[in-house]
Amino acid sequence: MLGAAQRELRTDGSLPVRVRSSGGGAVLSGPWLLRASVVMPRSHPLARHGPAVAARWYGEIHCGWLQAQGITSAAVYRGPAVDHWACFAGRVAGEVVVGERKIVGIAQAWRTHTVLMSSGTLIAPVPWTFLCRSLGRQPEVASSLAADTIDAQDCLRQPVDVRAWADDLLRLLRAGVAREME
Amino acid sequence: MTMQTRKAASVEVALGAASWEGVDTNAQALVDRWLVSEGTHVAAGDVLARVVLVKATLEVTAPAPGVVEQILVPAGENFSRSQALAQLRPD
Repeated sequence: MLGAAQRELRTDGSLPVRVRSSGGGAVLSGPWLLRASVVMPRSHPLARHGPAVAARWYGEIHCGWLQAQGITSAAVYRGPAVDHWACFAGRVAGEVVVGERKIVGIAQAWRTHTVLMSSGTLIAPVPWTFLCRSLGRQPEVASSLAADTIDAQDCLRQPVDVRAWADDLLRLLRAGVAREME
Repeated sequence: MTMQTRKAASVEVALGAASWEGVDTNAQALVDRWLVSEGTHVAAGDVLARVVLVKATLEVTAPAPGVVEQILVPAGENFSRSQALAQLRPD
């Protein structure tokens, strides 16, 4: 899945490609990635202060969620921003890291009437070689991506109950959106 | 969206200050694509361009009805806080 500004990137056709409406870099979708999205009207209090402030709010919820699952060293990245063609090798404030390694990526699409906030959380090991091959990158880039990232299964040394985790995140996101309305 | 007088009859089109709130001072945004060309007549609120800032796509809208006189930052180029993206001649 490519970021909105990556639509011209050439791929080798080995994987289906989708261009999302939000910014950021390329993501490899699959069972290793838990995605969550929130759509809110531009009139919502969270949309008053721009994407950087919204990303921090979104990241704080994800960070609290991961800590509650036992990843106690999860922390919200404070900056500076780092651009990269691969989402998980870049950084913006609000994304979630464990040490120096990224576990949650965030991207947004602000439209006239709505704001879309999206996240991807690495749940299990990612076959980065597929992403690199598809986008014509050198195989060693996959090793670099693996070193820059970490997944929940690796953090906890055991598989993750994705359904239960997703339910918990959904509950926290709903509560967070409602709290900002008060 | 902000408007500043550039010439007597023109206004500058820029990404509004609220979009930059909390963003690193030195950070830049990218013009992803222009949806209009120079000479296009637009209504107030029309989306003129899509830009990317801190992994968010944002719309740049026309502050008033008028004609897009000049595009100052082409698609694919970066721009800074308060930098004008285009010049609009109001009706």
